[in-house]
Amino acid sequence: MRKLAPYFRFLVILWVVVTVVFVSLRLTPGDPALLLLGPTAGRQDTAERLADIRERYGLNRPIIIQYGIYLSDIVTADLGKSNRSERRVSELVKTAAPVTISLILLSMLLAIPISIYLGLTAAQKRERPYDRSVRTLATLAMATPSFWVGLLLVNFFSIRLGLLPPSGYIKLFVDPIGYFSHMMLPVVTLALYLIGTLTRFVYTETADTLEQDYIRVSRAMGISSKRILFQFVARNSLTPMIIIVGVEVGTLIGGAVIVEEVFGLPGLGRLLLNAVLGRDYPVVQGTVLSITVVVILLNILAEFVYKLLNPRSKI
Amino acid sequence: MTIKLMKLPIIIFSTLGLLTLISAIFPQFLTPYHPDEIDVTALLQKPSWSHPFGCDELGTDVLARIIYGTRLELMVCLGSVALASIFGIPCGLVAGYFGGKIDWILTVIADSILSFPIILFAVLIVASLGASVLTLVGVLAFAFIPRIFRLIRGQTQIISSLGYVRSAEAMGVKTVKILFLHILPNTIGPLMVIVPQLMAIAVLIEAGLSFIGLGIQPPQISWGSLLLVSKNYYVAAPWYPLAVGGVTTLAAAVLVFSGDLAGAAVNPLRRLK
Amino acid sequence: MSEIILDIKKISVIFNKMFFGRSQTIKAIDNVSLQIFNSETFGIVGESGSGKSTLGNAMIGLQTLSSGEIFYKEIALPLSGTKDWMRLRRQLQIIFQDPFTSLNPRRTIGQSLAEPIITHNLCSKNDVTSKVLSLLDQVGLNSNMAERYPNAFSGGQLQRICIARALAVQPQLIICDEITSALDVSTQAQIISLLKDLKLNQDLSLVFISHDLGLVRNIADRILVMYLGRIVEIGSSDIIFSDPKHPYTQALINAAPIPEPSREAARIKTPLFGEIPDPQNPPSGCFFRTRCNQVHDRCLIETPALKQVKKNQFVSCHHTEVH
Repeated sequence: MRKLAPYFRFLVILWVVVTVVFVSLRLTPGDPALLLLGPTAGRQDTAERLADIRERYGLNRPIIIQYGIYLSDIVTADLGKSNRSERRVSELVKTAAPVTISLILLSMLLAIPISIYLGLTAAQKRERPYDRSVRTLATLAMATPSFWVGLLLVNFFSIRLGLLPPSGYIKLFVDPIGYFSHMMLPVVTLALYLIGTLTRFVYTETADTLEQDYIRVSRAMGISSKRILFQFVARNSLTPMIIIVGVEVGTLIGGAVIVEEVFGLPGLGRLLLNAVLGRDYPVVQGTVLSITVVVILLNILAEFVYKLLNPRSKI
Repeated sequence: MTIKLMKLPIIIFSTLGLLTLISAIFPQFLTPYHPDEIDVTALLQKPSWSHPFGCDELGTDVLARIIYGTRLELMVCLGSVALASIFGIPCGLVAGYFGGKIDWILTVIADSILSFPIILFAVLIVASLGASVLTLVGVLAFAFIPRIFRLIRGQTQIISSLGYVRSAEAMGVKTVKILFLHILPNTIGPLMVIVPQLMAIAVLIEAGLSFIGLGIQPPQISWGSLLLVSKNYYVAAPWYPLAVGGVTTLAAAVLVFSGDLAGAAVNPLRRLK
Repeated sequence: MSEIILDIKKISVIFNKMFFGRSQTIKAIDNVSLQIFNSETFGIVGESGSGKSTLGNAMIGLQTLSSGEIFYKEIALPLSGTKDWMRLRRQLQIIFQDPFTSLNPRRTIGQSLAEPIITHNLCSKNDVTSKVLSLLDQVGLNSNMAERYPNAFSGGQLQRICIARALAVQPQLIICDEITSALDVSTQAQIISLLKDLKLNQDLSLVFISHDLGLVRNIADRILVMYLGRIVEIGSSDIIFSDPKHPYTQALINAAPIPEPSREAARIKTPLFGEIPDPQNPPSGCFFRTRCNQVHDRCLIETPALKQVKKNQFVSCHHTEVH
């Protein structure tokens, strides 16, 4: 039973997140039924449809009952229907998710090896020009607004050079070359931020590990510094990276929202923003909820893997 | 020699900080132009000596707009961090000092807030309350509370076990005094590391949210709203978005660097973090 | 014997630690009873992990007890926040091991010393400064040190300041929790002689916790030997050093070097073998049996009770009955 305590914590976190999303709708000034009905209010059958919505979400009943209905909807994965297209929110999320997921996965694939290499080598050449420039560039990469970089890239590669399409999306299975040429710039844009953060992280961890006595001893024993760096140090300073990557998934999804807007990718971010602008409340709620739940589950996974690799940890 | 090297970045950063402060309070001292002045003869004019960053689509000096945008930018940064501190610091002190159930509850709440990606949370709240400076400050503060909370809580746990806190307990010093006189002043160092980092996040989130139309709305001037307006001129007047984005990046980077610097001062063995 | 000031009745302290989702129980103090008398110096000896510091904290009410009670002159040690708590804070004080973390680095020495005086309203506001200076004088420090911050001082000086702070409320009992172990040997001696001087001047009991037998012998009237949270042997200092009964006490005394070359050379060294057992899984029966050179079957099953062997000597060992 005690063993399950940490997972109980995550359950509580999930519950709080779900509840915040619930409360956010009630905080909105105005009639929640009208909000859920959206811009189609004013049509002939409005009164009837309002009554339907009130009945469906229990809006005429006490807030506790509304909350109960909301929770049971979530448990049964019923996120409601878009008030514009009448499509189910879960269906919309399912269509948009692969775009966002592939965007994030590809930027990780690009960013992780680069930042490991940069972080490790910079830490080894501490306080030399190489180290200083890597760290400065990493910090700049972290501090750049991603949409700005994205637009600069589009301007240069698509408009000036005409090498890559400025926006749009083609499915991988339809046209792999088209897919990659459309994904190239968004992935680079998103990866830039990640390279900045991860390089700084790997650098700090590695610089710490290099100061440890056992590394000094290995060096004194004459083991080549390359071997020390890539075998002993890397193993030690990279395990915590699993946790950081897990945490960064949240930030990356935030970044993806903006990058998708810049490059016109039909992912979750696009879905969410269009829903906000169109006051499509069920879609806003459903999208935020599903993304956050996935982020939390990924964090649990990251902690679990970290514990497997590092059984002494106290996290 | 080492002292000189250590002091150089401090001099640079304090000059930049002073410049920011002047731009925020007395922008008219730094530029002769007015940020709303329309000049039809200077539409999208190239950078020149009189207009170092060129002019925008209405012929207004871009530098003047950036300088006048600093006020709102600084208000968002400082306001959100201050608001977050008001809630985060006492909660962190209480959770770290008392431990037990109250610690568990506060930590779970903090973790829940942390698991919301900031941008998503902002979108959710802006969708409910509408976009305004106040909403932006509120959303950022809400996102920063758990970050300040976790730092103060961890520091408090360490400091609580030290002799000076335990002696104060043994002397019968009131708990409030122990928290605010003995523990809080000794968390200032690490707090000075995290505050500029949070301010950098605030600059970037402000820019991002304004860009997707959920942050500060034109005609209010902030760097984010300028970036939004300038996005239509990447081809016609590239210096315009370059100048605004460059200043934003520079500001965020300087904030991150000064956090690193504070970190090195607090803990000389660790250069980053 | 003089008056009992602290009466400890069958106390136990159990720590529950959550580690990796599993809970671990550690009995830091296991059913300990003892008394502290007025103006005596009581030594507590044991290896690290023996529960001696926890016992010290418990004695002045800084440690929540799992069971048992502690009375200070008929008043049960109350929980913090109650009325008696503030009253007892003037009577019971503690000095910690590490002088470098025992003073708030952001407050001057004067501010730190003034705190107990102000907290307990020991004198009028105008007299606080002179009181602080007299405290500094009492521990042999200059009055100009009051303006400075802790980072300007050496470990020995800081420990003197900590002693001054504990003395500020004129307590009946001061727990000295390993107060010399962070100092070098010459400073240790100065601190010990300062404590001895202070004791001559006032009506004060000291509990002196240390892993250094030589130091304890030098200062203590009575001695308690602890092992894994239990009392091993307790009695007057002279008797314990001249005629230790418990194999553990014997081993400790044998291991301590004698500061006299000829006797040191002749000393029979019977070092303790093995490591102190994992406190989460202590051995059955007598806790010391895994390292004892006289184990027999009974030690595996039965926990030895504390028995009086002489007028001022109590031992918990099955072998003492044979004597």
